[in-house]
Amino acid sequence: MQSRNSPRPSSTLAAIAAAALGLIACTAPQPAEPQTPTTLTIGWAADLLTLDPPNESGTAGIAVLHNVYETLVSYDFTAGTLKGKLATEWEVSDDGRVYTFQLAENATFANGQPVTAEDVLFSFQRVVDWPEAIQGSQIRPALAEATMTSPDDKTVQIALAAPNASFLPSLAGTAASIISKSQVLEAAGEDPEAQRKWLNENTAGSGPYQVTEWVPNSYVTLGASKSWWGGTPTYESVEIRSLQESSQQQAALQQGDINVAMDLLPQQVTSLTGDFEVLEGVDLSTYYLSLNLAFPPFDVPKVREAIKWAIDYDNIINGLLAGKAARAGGVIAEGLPGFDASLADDYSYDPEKAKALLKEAGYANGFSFDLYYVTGDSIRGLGVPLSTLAEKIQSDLGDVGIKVNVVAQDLSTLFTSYRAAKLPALIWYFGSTIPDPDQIVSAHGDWNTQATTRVSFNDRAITEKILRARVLTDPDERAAIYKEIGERLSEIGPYVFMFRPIPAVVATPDVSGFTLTPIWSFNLS
Amino acid sequence: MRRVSAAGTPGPGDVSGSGGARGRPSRYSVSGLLRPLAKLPGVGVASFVTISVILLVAVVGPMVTPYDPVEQDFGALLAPPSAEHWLGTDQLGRDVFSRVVAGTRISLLIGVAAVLLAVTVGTVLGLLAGFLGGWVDTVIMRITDLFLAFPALILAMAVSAALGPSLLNVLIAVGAAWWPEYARLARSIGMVERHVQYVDAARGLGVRTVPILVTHVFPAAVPPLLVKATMDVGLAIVYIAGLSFIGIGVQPPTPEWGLMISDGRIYMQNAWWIATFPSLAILLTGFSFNLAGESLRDLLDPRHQATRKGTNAEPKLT
Repeated sequence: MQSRNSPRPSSTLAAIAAAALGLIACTAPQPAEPQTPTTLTIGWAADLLTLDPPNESGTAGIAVLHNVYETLVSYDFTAGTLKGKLATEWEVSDDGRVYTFQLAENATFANGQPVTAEDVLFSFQRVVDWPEAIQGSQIRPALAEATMTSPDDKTVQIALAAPNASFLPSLAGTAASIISKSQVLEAAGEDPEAQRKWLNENTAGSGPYQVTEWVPNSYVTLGASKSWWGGTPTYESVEIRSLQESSQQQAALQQGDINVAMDLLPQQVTSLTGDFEVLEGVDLSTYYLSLNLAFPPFDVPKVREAIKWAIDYDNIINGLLAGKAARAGGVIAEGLPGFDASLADDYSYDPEKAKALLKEAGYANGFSFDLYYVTGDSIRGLGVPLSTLAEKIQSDLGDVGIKVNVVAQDLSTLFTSYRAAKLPALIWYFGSTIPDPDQIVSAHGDWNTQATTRVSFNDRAITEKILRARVLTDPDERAAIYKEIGERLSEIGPYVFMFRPIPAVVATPDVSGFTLTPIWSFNLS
Repeated sequence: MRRVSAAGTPGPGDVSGSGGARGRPSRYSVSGLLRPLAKLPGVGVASFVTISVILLVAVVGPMVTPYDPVEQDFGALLAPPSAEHWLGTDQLGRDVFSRVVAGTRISLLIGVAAVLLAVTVGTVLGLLAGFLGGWVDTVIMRITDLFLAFPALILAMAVSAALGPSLLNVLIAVGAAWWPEYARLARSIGMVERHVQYVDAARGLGVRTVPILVTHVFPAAVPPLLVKATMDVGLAIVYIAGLSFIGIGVQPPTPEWGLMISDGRIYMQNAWWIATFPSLAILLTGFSFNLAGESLRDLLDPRHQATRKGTNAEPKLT
């Protein structure tokens, strides 16, 4: 009786020792043996929201959809030009309004059916008929006023109401994915609601992989399309596991549970270099502080300027992020038309100047505000928690007399208040999901979009320039206008642009056929 | 010469019956594990000495720490323990030693305050319920049951989340989760004391209810309440750290232990010192208060005296 009720100290010690040994065993490096695996397992902190292309705006979902569905055109990041995918060639009429696409003769869906003009029209019409689909806004405004026809089975003609320079690049985004009409009709019938319900959980694409199983917040499994018209996929299946923390990912990688870890800390990447392969990528997303002009004193331009001078950018980039980020001065990233490297030099760390500006603005004694960020979120591809960044910003602004209360909120709560323009300030990032600057500058400067109303930023000059750039067909002229927009956003915009992460993904040496892309995270073909 | 009125009502000395009201092993499994340890010679003294040291650290520590606990030093990010930074630095270059020391005051302060809140509310309501009986008893006890229906940590999480994360709200949340246990304990004492002779005598002399409660009934409740409160301070500190760990407790950059563990856990493989030392601080504090509570029980509870002297009630542990 007694021995059962009171554990002997020796057995307790033994248990502790065993637990400690277990811990050590878990963290000891165990490099995987080099052999070509048939399954690729990816550990990622990001989760899918839906499988329906026009409605998915999350990073992980877009990455999956990019490998499951195909689009008419794609983007060559090294050349900076569009290239054909499902459309082998296309023509644009002289007035810049009518686009004629020729579909690839041999393109087929995963179920073996050929990709036809009817599928294209079906996919695009879905976006037009579904105003609530978040990502659909990439192409919906242009398509809604366009006339779409199919002169024959392999030809699609789209006549826009007005010339639109961002239309063709926007067709490379996942919202413009081509879905198999026959497969959807067979599975869900004619009712659009039923179709959305089915496509929310199933895929009907022409890409190298199709989703075979999806358990939200847990994992998603992609199975190779044996009959893929573009060749043979490298892996039989690809599993993306939801591993929220970088330490979990490192342990899983070292134990051989996963082949690719997406969100390791720069320090972890350094310690794993040698035993593992490090793939460095480019991310077009920009991290910044978003200030809502409806909350005084953010409406005072000098106060905004003071904040821009008060952030210790160098130590954030080289200290917190261990150099794995590039200073960003605007929203347009390198590789897109209108990118201006010199914007990064507009503001640097100068607390004295910030204090002087605050004094000029009448805030010599500072002020206080609430800075929001998403609970548990970390910087894309770097694993550094946003809370750490928030504490650094809190300390920097504290040095110039601005008291910052950091508030962590879960994504849905935060997003609801953000959409209602109720947040004074937040740490935010914005990444392009199409290879064109129109989307990203519109979201930050065009008063006609909802995004700018959330920060109460209404600048007529910027709005006019954005509208003008959209209808221009001369690429150089467009790029020049985007540069002007970038300058003005940097100067008077309610955004304190900080950096763009340089993501580093760690993979076992046997991984092949996995490449990072600046927009859609990765390519599996 | 005490008469126990209601059958099965626990007597004032039966401290272990108080928290068992929940019928779950959660809290008492902890002290149950520690009980044999508490009976080892010298453990009681050692735990009180440790608590005294922790108290001393809480009072004078923040004045003598080598660094400001919230000051960031980008020249020394994630620095390992060294002569300069005894317990290393964290991801923002803050000195871990200074933060652990500064955290002692915060954790102890909220821990003690939360338990005090729970004891005050619980004792007042419990004594009233037990002593007055009737509808007062029914109303108070049904409210207590309502609170007891939720696991304490879930309740604390809900209250903290509803009030919004802040230092004061964490205190309220933990206090709100804990008072029903004290109410039950105090009630059992109130019920017994209601019929003892000296209370009858006081009543006969015309003393009113409140003075009787204060001068005659409350002193009888002090020993068991003190024992339970001492043990609970340790648990309250663990709860507060838990709430801060999941982000609904104390907010950054306050040097709070739970928060430090939360910040440091992702660096465990590269900078183990960030999360390890605050964890040890929580372990030591929680452990000390629990053992001190066990020792106090042996001192204050006559029925545990025999085992204390180690005669033949329980075999000695080696």
